[in-house]
Amino acid sequence: MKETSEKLTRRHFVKLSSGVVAVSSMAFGGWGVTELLVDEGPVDSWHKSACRFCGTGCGVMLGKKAGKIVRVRGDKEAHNRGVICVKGSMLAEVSQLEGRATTPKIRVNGQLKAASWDEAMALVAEKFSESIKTNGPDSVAFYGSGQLLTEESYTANKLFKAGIGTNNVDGNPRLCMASAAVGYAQTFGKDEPAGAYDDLDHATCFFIIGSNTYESHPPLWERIMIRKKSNPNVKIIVVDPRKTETAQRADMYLPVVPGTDLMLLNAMAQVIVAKGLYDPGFIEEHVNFNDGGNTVSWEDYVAFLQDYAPEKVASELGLTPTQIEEAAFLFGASKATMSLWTMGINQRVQGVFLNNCISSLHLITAQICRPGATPLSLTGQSNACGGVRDTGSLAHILPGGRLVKKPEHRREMEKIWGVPEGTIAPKPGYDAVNLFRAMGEEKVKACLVMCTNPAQSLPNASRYREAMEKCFLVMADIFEDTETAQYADVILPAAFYIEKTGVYGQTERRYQLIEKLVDPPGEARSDLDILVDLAERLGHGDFISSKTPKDVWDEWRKVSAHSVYNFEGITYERLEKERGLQWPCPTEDHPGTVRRYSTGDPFVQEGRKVQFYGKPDNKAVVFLRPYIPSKEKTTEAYPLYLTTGRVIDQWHTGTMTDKVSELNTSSGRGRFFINPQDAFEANLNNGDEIEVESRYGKMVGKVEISENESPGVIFASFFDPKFLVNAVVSDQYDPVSKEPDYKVTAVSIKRHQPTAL
Amino acid sequence: MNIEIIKIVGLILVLIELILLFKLLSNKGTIKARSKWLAFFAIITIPIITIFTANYHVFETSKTVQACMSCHVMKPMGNDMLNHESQTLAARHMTNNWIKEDQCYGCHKDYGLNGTLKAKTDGYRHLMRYVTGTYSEPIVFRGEFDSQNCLNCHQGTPSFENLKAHEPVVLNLEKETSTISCTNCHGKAHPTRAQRTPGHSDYDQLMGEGAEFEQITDEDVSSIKAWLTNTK
Repeated sequence: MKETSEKLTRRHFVKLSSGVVAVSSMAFGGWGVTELLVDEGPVDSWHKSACRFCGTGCGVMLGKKAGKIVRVRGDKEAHNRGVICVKGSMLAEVSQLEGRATTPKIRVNGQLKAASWDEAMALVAEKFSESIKTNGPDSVAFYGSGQLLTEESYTANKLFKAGIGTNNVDGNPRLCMASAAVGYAQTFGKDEPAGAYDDLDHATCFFIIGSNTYESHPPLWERIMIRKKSNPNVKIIVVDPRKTETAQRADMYLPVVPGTDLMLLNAMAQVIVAKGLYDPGFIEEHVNFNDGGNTVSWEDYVAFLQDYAPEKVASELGLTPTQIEEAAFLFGASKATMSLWTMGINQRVQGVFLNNCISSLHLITAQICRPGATPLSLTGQSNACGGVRDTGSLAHILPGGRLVKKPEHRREMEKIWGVPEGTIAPKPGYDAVNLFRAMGEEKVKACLVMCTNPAQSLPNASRYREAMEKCFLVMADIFEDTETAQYADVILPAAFYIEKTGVYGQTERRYQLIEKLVDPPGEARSDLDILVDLAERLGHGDFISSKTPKDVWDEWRKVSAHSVYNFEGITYERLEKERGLQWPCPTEDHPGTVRRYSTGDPFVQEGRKVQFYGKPDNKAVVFLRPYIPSKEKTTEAYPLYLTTGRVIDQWHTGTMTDKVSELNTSSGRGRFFINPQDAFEANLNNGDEIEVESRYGKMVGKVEISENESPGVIFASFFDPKFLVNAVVSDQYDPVSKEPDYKVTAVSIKRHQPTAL
Repeated sequence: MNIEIIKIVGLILVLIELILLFKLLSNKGTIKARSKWLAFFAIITIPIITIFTANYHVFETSKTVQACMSCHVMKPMGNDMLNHESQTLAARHMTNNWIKEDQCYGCHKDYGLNGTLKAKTDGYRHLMRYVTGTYSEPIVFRGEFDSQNCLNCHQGTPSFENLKAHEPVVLNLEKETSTISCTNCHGKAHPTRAQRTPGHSDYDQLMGEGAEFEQITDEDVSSIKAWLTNTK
């Protein structure tokens, strides 16, 4: 028995072992096969970055393979929670576009000829030096962009204002958000908003005025929709002359006549006061009233508003008194009201006043400094806030919210930058429109244009195109086929944003790091390298001592510590790890500030819930701002309003997005959108060509009939270089912010009769 | 076929097999030639049918949300999806009853037989990784989510087709080298990697027992169909 049993045991053992080995082999072998079979995807490595386009500043993850960006996904860990838009989704395509500028070019006898960097920069330095020597420092200028990296705008500003000695530093943010910047500074004492995107998750009423959020800031609109769907009591009020995609989704749509909405804001304030929807305690503690010159009383404010009672202004606004009362009630009575606006408010001759009035509504109702209750101006460019507003890279300002016109502010910056007292000129430089006018008058003889396309983006474009011809124009850009290139004497090939390193700062005071992921093509260089090179050639090499992005950033964050913008704690090391940080952020262990002027802001005294510390007495200002009708009122000769704006598929002058086939096909070509009634009166059909004429110029373009346009208003976008709508757009500007009014131009239209050959 | 019926058929087959094997063993050496059909069934036919049935059962049950959530690393996805307060894409689909059954599999299985094979292959890889402990938290999706999975339901619906903003997306998806993803504009599908990392403030809640799984009824489905076909 024993023998038999032993034999069986051995056999069993062998059998069992074989079975285990066979099963294990199958299991593990199968696993191995699955590891080989399951696709790894098209990306070798993912890199955190931010989007190149609008001021939402979405966090993106860029997927890289074989040295190229091949995928873009929303960064789920970032403030946008993984949501980006269709333009951002095309960043991989944009990063690989053909036709990049790869070598410097100099215009010789009207033709652009390739040159070495040394030849091109020597010529630029020679022309700038010669002009400075012969005509003074104010004969040269820098025209920058809200798309340059912060380190680049900071360096240009420092070089021109404290090195060369001219305040002629301006740029395209003047065209898009100067009114918001001045509006905030007047009301709260400092630029940049109190609120943040986080408020979108808490608001119970959205007051959207002059913003087509759906098309211009889609990820923010998606967030508003999620808020609305999670709480059906959330109300959305949209004020816009056009029934935009945003307006179509509103609970309440107020189609105001273009140019009149300041009356609406004052009328809403009047209703809020009359119905007792204001907060006397908050006003007493935190608000002053001012008539534009002097401090006035609450009673003066109430008396001022009487002229704007709904029944008095409704007709001119194109609304009914009931609509105004309802909007005012929702604004004042909602648990948390958030206002959002952008170019419909900023690009206006009363842009600053409009900004003041929006903030005023929040101040009198105490709809501010609480989650969901805030005014928040949306931004058009990826780095207009951080790069230009915060660094003071506009003609009238200095870093950290300082003003050129204030001697103590100039002294502070001269001390910080270590230059002799009196180096910074006391007179503000030329703002965008006046800079190009000065070129036309040959007062500005040499100008460096970086990362922007003024030949297409300036209003009254023909006038300023002629002006550019009179100036020695140096253009640094990633493409050399832009409209501005036609007027450039020197073209410098620049690096695309992910071909260099630096910081972007978006709408809600959030700074995000852009890291270099790919090399620039050909000989293209970062704009910072170009500026450092220029500084050295102009003899300011020692002054512009920070020559790498990190050095510039470290210098700038230390400079910021001398102001209430303090973000000394936002280091590159932190930005590499974190998904952006919101300033103020004074120390490296500070988490950043979501809501400014309220508890949690390091500059708010302990124990205080709200403190508008930008003002000496800690009180924000409600201004009594009268409605002044625009010069661009319609007349018999110009019976329609032309208003311009963006479409969802295109960005700015289309230099990038219009080269992407999906976006180009989807947007179609530039055209005028017209209401069926106006089309009927002008006997127009879809696709007909019309001649549009304003006091500034005329142009021919196709029409598309759309029920989303209001009668009396035609709309066009400005992305198409072959459809230069800015040739007819008014160059009237806000007298304070100097921001041009792109939104209201009186025009006439007629069917175009092609000239017979 | 109803999974419960398969389960019962499988159990009956196992029972028959056990009886047959017991009979064979107890009559070892005395099996008569006429009883050899019994051996054939016991050793060949019934085991094959049982294995096939068991496999089918596993294939079917592994499609369920419960099967996915049986690995603790998948719990955050499941718990989040079942949380009616959550705003992730998965939760919104669940809360609004947009997918009747097998919600995880419904979005993650690519189209056709190839898609099934791919899903099962990856499922097996997940299983082996899990049982051998060769993974680390937070787990990471391997490869690329196919937007066709979204289009399988959304394409053809008025809300998809009538939206002008979808035009460039469709153009990109039609390209041979499509790069876009529906989730770019419509947000995160699940809790983020940070939330799923041990130590994060949301981790414990996401790893908890979570909400009860509510089976969607046919009534729900007909109400969704009515809503979808209402093009007003």
